[in-house]
Amino acid sequence: MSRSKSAMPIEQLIERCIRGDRKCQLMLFDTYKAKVHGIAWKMLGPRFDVDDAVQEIFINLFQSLPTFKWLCSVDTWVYRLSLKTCTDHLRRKYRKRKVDITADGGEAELFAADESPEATTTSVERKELRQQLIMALDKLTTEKRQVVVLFEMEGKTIEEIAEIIQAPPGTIKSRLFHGRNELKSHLKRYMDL
Amino acid sequence: MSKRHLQTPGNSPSSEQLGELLRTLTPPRKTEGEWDHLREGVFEALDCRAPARSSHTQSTLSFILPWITFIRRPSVVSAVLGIIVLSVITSYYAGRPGDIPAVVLRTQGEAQVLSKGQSSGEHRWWKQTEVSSPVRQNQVFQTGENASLSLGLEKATGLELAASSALGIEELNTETISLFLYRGSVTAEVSPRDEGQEFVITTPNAELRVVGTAFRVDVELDTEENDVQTLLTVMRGEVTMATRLNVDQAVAIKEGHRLVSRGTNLQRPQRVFEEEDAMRELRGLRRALSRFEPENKIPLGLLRVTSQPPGAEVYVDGTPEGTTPLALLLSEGDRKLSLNYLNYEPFDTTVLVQSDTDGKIGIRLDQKSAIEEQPDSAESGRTTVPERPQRTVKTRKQEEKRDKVSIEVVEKDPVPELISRVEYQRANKAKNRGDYSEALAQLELLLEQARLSDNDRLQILDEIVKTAKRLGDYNRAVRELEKMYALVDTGRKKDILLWEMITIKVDRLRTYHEVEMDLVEYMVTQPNGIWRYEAYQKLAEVQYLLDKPRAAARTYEKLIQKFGREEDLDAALYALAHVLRHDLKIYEEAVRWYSRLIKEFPRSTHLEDAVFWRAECLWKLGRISQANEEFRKYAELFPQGRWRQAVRQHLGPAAAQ
Repeated sequence: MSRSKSAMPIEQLIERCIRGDRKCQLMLFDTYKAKVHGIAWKMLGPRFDVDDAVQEIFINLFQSLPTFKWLCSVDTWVYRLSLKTCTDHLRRKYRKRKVDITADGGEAELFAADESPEATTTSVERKELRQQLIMALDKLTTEKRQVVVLFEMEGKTIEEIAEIIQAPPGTIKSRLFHGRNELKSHLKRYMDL
Repeated sequence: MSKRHLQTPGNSPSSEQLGELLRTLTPPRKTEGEWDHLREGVFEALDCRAPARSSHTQSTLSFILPWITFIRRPSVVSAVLGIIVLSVITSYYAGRPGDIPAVVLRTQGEAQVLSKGQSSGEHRWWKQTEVSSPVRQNQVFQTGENASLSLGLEKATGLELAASSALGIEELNTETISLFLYRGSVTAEVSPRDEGQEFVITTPNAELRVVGTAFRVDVELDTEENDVQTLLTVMRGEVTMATRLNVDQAVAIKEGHRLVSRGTNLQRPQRVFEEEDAMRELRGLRRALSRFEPENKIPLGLLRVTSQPPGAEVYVDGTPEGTTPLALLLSEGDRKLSLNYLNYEPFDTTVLVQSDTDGKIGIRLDQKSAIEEQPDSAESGRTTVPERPQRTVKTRKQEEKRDKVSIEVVEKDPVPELISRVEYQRANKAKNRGDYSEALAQLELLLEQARLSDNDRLQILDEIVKTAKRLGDYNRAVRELEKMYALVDTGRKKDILLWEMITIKVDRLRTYHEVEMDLVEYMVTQPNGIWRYEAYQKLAEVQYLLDKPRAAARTYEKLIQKFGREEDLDAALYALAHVLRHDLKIYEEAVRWYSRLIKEFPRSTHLEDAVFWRAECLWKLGRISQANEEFRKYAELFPQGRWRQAVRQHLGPAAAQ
């Protein structure tokens, strides 16, 4: 069971949040903000309004807190809720979405992070790689992307993912296998296989 | 690599390498200010929303469930408790004020109703308001543009909802009629109230109490200023108005006066002269109410009048009733119906209104000829009115089929043919319970049946497309869309279907080769198609995805040439320049397009990138001094820009500053 930043146990924190304690709600927001933002960004990519999704996830989270039955950990529940909201976002905006061939998804940070004088070429390459990674992820179906993001980027185990997604571990393994293969085929230029 | 990778089958060095690559993708870091902004947004939204009903339901259930378990064991206790509960419920209902048989009297244009569901999970949809349908508590009525709606609440009490308005029925019983006007205008006629009876209209910022009167309320929302204003115009009697913050300090408004409540303040009442709109609405409402007899269970017949073009003025027995499309309740018997529309021939007919049948009349009005024969009024000394064709409708057998008018008298509750079919109903039921395979099977059965009209066939195919999409069978969805495409006749529908096929192929099937051909076909077959701009965009993107940067660049050029005035053309310019620079390495051309973007779209979101990449292209072309000048320009324009580090590397730290 995860602990909030404060010494308060998560059970007590949630109970107080349900009672409308604004201080505890803020605490819960601060505990999960980075996790929720991370998963939303990885699921939606830089083309979507990630803040909008994060906001919606937290609203859903606070509104459905009273219905949380403690059948899984809060972390798992937060992940499940975040993925569900992101999937809804993807479905809602799918038709409006455009293939943005010039998207660079915050590559400027890469330049900023690299201070060495000879870094320009490397940085441009890294920028391109990052762009290709985002594009490759975008090409996956939502189900496969969920599994790939949780396994490869969030470091979750197959069992944990099965619990989050509420699907059998076999299904998760299959999605991961196919998702990885698709990614490899899209990114073969960048992988020295 | 970590241990967990061993748990997955097919793990290999390439998977580990992929994992490493993916882990380099991290979201941009947020500053504390950005988090604060996000946090504020979340809690602001939470404060605005009503608390979730489910929590309440859950807490109620958690309270009741242990009691049920207790009651179940000793049967005598459960019987006694049952009797107590029954008596409590009976006494509650006996003491409750009675319901009133309110109905919708008249609709004109788009009028919809929403019945609020009891459970939070229940889906609620706006439905078309039907004349003579009952008005109930917890309903919300809304009207579209040029639409209106009359409701009969009690004898001589009713209201008319004007265009673009929304009204909620909060409480509706013999003691209290409580309404909430969300927006727009309502004109009300209220019969004198007995002691203990209340008629209340609440608006977002005011509360009005009525004794027995005729009045109009307008709610004006200023979303920019976040302000709301309620205007009360009293035409007869007296109405009290108070702000919702201070309900006890109500101001009484007398006949012929108006009071404005702006935000939380009440302004001074002003004398108003007869308002043309309000009086017209009141007259219409009174006419509708005069026919409304709740005790007689409405011995009226429903008449729906539509016309081509819509918006014609409808007169029944010489009295104006509204404009088409119009549905109204009329007393039984022969009624003279006239339609008038500017620049169209007037139309007269006689219809027989019967209480047990719904009458529908659709009229295609003829345009007046350009050279109209003028009556020789000078000779006779007065204007002569040419005799109009008279038509009388009695029953279906006597229905007349003429070029101008199609009149149909239908039995109440008509059942459309397709809906009545067993397979269609089974498919709907299966769909509702989420069994899409069964729904698809039923729809297929239905489609195999002979004697289906083209419209029915189209409807079934449409259902199959939706169901196939739900099942994730996008190939099937495309096949069915192709069948629909062959069946439809109008260009607009073909346009929409073709575009839907293309989007499924791009987004779901990713059959880019096929899409490329489809898009080219779309451009040829639909030169004025509604998606033509998007078609060019999509074609260029697909060509790029197919590793055909040269073709993509050509398409972008065509797009820019064809849609030179589009507002978001900067995206196409930027994409073209990107392809030329990044994929084709034609830097000279790239510079040209970047320059055009910078010149024509100085406020574009791509401006910063365009300035930087133009400089990069110049650098690649070996025009170092020019490139440095551009880099310097970038540093000047975007001192905190995303490429500042790269610019510094080009110029050296001192030069960049």
